Amino acid sequence: MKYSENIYWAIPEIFLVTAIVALLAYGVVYSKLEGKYSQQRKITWLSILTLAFTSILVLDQIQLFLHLTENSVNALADSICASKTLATRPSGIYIAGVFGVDILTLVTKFIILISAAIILILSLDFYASHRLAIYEYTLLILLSVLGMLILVSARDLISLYLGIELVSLSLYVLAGIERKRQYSTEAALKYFLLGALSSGLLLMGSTLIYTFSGETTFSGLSSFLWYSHDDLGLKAGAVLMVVAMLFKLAAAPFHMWAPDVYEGSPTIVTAFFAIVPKIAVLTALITLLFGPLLGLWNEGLQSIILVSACASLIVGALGGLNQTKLKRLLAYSAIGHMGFILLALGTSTLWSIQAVYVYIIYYIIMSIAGWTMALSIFKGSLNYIAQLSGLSRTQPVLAATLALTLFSMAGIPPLAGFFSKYLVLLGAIDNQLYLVSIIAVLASVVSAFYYLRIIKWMYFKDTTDYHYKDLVDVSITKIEVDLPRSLILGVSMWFILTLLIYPNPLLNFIFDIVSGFVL
Amino acid sequence: MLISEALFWIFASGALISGFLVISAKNPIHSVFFLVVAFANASILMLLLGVEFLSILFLIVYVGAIAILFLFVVMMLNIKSVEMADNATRYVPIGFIIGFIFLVEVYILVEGSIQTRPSAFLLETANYEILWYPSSGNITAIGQVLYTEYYIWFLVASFILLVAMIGAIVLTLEHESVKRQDIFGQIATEYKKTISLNK
Repeated sequence: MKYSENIYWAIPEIFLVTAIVALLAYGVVYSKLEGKYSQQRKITWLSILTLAFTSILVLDQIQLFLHLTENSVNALADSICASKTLATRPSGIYIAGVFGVDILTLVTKFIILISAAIILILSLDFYASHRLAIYEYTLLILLSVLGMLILVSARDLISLYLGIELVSLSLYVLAGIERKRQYSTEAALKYFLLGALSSGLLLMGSTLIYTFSGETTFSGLSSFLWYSHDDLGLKAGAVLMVVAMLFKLAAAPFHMWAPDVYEGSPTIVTAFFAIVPKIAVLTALITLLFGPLLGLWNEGLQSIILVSACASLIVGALGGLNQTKLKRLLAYSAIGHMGFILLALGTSTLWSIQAVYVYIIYYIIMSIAGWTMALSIFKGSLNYIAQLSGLSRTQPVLAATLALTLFSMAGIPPLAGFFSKYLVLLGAIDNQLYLVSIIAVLASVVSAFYYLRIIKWMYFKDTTDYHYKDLVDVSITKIEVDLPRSLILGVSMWFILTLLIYPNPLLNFIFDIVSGFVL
Repeated sequence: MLISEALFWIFASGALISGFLVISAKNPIHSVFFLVVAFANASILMLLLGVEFLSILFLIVYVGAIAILFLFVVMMLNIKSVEMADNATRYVPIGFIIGFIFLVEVYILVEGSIQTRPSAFLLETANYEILWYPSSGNITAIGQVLYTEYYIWFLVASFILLVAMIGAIVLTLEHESVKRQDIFGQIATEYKKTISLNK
C-alpha cells in the first residue's frame, strides 16, 4: 500500500479542508473589524461558494469514474471475447487503503454538498434574526459536511468511526449554538449524551468484529465474513454497529432523542439535521451492510432492519398525532419517512435499493420545501400549528405551497411523495413482505391525518380561531419571503409537482448508480 | 514469570478495590482520588501486558485530564459529602441480575474459542518493531506506522480536535461581555480630558 495511493480521488475533501482553514483564519481576523452581522453574511456567502466549488470537483470525478468503469466494462467484454482470464470490473477505488470511492459514494457526496449549500443559503439572515454574532456556525456546518464526505467514503472500521465522530461532534455543537436559550442547551446536552452512547455502541461493535476476524478493512472483512459467519462475537458486533447507525438515523426504537433535539435547536439547525446527514449515514449503512456485513445479512441483520422499519412507521404515525408544535410534528414525520426507507432497505433487492435512493432524494426535496416554509413563517421560537390558522386568507400562495408539500409528504397521488412510497411498497410486496407492507400502508393513512390537520388549520379556521391560552398575540400577520428562499421554494415545488409525471431520467440514473455499486 | 504474575495479582486487586472504593466513599474528593488510583493500576496492568503506548496514554488522558477535571468540578460545586439518603442495598437485586446476565453473555462469547488474527495495522506495527527498531518498544513503532501509512486517520483525528476546540469556544466565549484592558487608550488619555461634566 502506497501512502498517497489514488490521492487524486480525495481532491474535493482536500479542497474543502483548505477552504475551511482559510475561512476560519478569515473569520478570526476580520470578525472584529466590520459590522456585527455583515461579516457573518460574507462568511456564509464564501462558504456557499466553497460548497459549490467542491460539488463541481465531485461532478468532475463522477464523470471520470463513469469513464473509467466504461473502459473497464469494454476491457471486460474484450477479455471475454478473447477468452483470456476475466478482468474484474473495479467497483471502487481505494484511497490510501482506508478510504474509497465508488459511484454511489460520489453521487451521495454531490447530494450532500448541494443540500448543505441550500441550508447555508437559507441561513443567510440567521445571525441577524437570532442576534448571534457567531461566525463559527457556518464553519461548523462546513466541518460536519467534511465529516459526511469522510463518512460515506470510509472503507475501514476506524475511518467509519472517525467520520461519524466528526459529523456528530459538529452536530452537537450546532444543536446548542443558541446557548442563551434553555431549550437549545437542553437539546445539545440530550443529543450529546445519547450520541456518545451510540458512538460507544459503534466502537463496541467494531471491537468485537475486529476481535473475531482480525480485520478492520471492509474488503478484508467482506471476504472473511462471507465464509465464517457462525461466530457469535461477529454477529453481536454487527448488530451493535447496525444499531449505532440506526441511532444516528433516528429510526424507531432509537428515536428518543429526535423530537426533543428537533424542537430545541434553532429552526435552521433543525432543518440541517433533517435534510443533510441522513443520506450520508444511510449510504454508510448501505456500504456497511452490503459490503463487509453481507455474509451476516440473512443471519439476523435483515430482521433487525425490518423490525426497525415497522417500529419507525408506527412511532412516526402515532407519535405525530398529538403534537401541537410544527417542529416536533416534522420530527415524527421524519421518523415515519425513515421507516419507509428502512422498509426498502430491508427488502434488499436491486430495485429496492433504487427505491431507497429515490425515496431519500424525494424526502430531501420535500423537506427543503417544508423547512423553508417553516423558516419563513415562524420567526422566533414559537412554532405552534395553531398559529397557522387562517393563513390561506392572508397568504394564499404560501398556504397553497405548504399544503401541496404536506400532501406530498402524506403521499397523495398526483404529487412526488406518492411515487416514492409506491416504489417502496411495490418492492416489498414483490418480495412477500406482506405484513410490513400492510403496516406501512396503515401507518401512511394514520400519518395523513396530522398532515391534513395542518391544512385544516390553514384553510378552514379563522385568524381568530385559535384559543391556546399562551397564543394571544402571536398570530402570523406579516410574512416576507426573500429572493433566495422564493427561488428554493419554487424549484422544490417544481420537483414535487413534476417528478411524478416524468420520473424516468431520475429513476434510470439512480438505477445505474445502484447497479454500479452492487454489481 | 512468577514475579510478573504476582505483580498482576497485586495491581488487579488494587484496581478492583479502588474501583469499589470510588462508589462507596462518602467524600467526593476521596472518590476522585480512588478513581485516579484505579486508573493508575489499570495503566500498570497494561504495562505488564507489554503495551507501553496505551498504558502511558491511559495515564495522560484519564489521570492527567479527566480525573483532574472531575476534581475541579467537585471542588467548584463545593460538595462536602453526599448524603446517602436511600439505602444502597435496594439496588443489589437488580445489579445482581444485570451482572449475572452480563457474565453469562461474556461466558458464552469467550467459551466459544476466540480466534484472533492480527490486523494489517498491527502487522505493520510489529513489522517495524521487529525489523527496524528491535529494542525501542511499541511507541516508536506505532509512531512509524501512524505518521506514514495511516497518516489520513491522523489528519481526520486532528480535525475532530479542531471541532472540539471551535465548539468549546462557541459554547462558552461571551463575545459581548469580554472585558479587555485597553492599554493604548489608557496611555493616550490626556490629563485634562479625564473628567468631564455631563449636563
